[in-house]
Amino acid sequence: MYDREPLSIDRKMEAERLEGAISDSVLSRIRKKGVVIGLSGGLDSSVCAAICAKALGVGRVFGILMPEREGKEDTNRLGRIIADHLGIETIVEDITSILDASGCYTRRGMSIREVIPDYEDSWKCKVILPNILSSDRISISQIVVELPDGSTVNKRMTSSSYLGVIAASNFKQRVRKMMEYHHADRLNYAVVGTPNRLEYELGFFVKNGDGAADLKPIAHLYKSQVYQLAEHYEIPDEIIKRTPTTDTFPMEQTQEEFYFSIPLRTMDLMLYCYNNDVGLDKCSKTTGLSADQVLRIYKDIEQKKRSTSYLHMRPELFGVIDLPPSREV
Amino acid sequence: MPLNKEVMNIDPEKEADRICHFLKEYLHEYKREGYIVGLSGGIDSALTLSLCVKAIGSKNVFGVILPEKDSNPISERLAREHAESLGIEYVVENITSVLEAFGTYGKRDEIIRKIYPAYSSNHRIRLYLPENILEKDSINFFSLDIMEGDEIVFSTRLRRKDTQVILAATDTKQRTRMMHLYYHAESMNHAVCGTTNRTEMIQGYFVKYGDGGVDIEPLAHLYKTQVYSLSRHLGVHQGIIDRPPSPDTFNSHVSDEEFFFRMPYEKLDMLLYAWENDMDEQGTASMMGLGTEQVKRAFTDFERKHTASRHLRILPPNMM
Repeated sequence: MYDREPLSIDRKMEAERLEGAISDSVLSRIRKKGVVIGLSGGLDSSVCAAICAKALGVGRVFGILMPEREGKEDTNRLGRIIADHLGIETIVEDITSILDASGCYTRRGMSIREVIPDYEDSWKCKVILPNILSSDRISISQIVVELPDGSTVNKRMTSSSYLGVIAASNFKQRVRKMMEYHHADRLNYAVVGTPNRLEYELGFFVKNGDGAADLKPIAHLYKSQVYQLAEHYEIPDEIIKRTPTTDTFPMEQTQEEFYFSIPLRTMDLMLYCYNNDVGLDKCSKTTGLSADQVLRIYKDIEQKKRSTSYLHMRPELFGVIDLPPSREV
Repeated sequence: MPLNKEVMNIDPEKEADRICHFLKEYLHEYKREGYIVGLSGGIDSALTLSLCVKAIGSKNVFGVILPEKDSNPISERLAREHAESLGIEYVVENITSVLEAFGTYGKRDEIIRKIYPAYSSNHRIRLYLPENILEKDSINFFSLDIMEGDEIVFSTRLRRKDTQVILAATDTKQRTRMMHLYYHAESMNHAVCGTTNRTEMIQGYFVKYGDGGVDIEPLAHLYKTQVYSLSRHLGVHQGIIDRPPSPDTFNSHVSDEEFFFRMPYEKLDMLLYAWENDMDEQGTASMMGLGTEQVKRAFTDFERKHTASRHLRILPPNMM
């Protein structure tokens, strides 16, 4: 939990603004009867569920817990806690068999074996990025695997192995979204996307996976602002205190390790400074980082934004589909 | 400009070049190495494939054929033949087991059994809208046929709620395909090329984050009629050109016309053009040899479909 001056918001005002806007968006513009939301047990989905429950009424929010065999046990338990806390109808859909059938686990194994030939699909693994503060090296991802005897092996990944592992893992986010849309279509509900501003702006989401939604209520909020809203909605402590995780690989893995490469609270402030053209001196004072480190992170932010810009686009159309204004595409 | 047959004319040579340029630009801008095309055995994906190969060569285009147990076997055969004639690499991945694990068939059959308790695995089904909108005004309510062999043993109009649940189940077919296309795209650093044409785009004939979930849509500005003329020009497999377009989602054949469009393409495209360009109903009617009432009905149908599908075409609203 963190809260720093430049990012503090008037919680009550922001909560009320969001509730009004969401009810308007879902009921009048998207014109659906309620919302479906995948509950991961994490902070972002919990806060989104709380806002929607308040905005639309608990009867119009449908929660789905989607565990799979490699997910943390916490995920289900905390997801259940928030569902009960809010009183929304929630179902459990175990997606393991769908992932099995799609080849998610076996295809990942295949790509890991490009760098660790002995790897077996039942071993645990994760992908990590080096911390950007300590080195300027271009971020080369590493694969970590845990052998049955508990020892670990760490290898730098080749580009083809990395792409293959990520592509296979992305089945998880896409299957979850497919499940959410299945229930949404069935109920005539909209699907809520739960990225916060760090994830949204820096492109930390899967296209047509967790990036797919009909509305994204907290995409404009920095992570620390989401924490502030969590307090406003009295989200259970256990959820607030949990370290943000990707919950994608069988080994314990934080979002910091996997994508942001610096602590989230620092990234939060850095992104704020970057977006608001805060001078180097001031930024370095606020964050406690050296000027050199600040520059390195700015570069990283720029690189992330550039390489993920396509995630924000709808499919490119060739030429304009010209319709009269009343028939805007 | 008054409505006339010429509005559908394109210069196929020039048009193909324009699209190829666009396809190349995208790869350059987003630093992708090639294209993934999902091949359904239908004309849109076949044309898309031909264009991609023309634009960047066969080496960097990868085809993915994703049949399931309800697909027409001819689809796979035609898709393979077209891919082979272009010399591209492709895979066939049967997605039946993924759909079974998801519950696609089970969830669909549960509703159908509720309507027709004798429903069994010997039966085949199809969904369709009331025929020819030009002849009779009727709203877009789906009907269901249950077939045994070629014989219809049961037929009914579906309740809205049941339609919703059946389509919520069958839409997972398109979404599962999207998932597999992205697996290959992301492993190879390719982009996923969409195949939606203008006639479909404007009326929302695609599944959100299913066949609509792609990186680029090179056909979205072309009416279906134009898709045909470009396909003929580029030498798309004759078997694909001659085949009636179909969603290939139900195990008993239903054409796109029966399932969604409710009139033949040639008429549909002209009327759509007239509607898009705010042309008056009377003039349109006399040019096309139709009654004003008929044109009105078509326009109302476009209006409904276009409005209902608006959310498919926009980016998710957010408050940033």
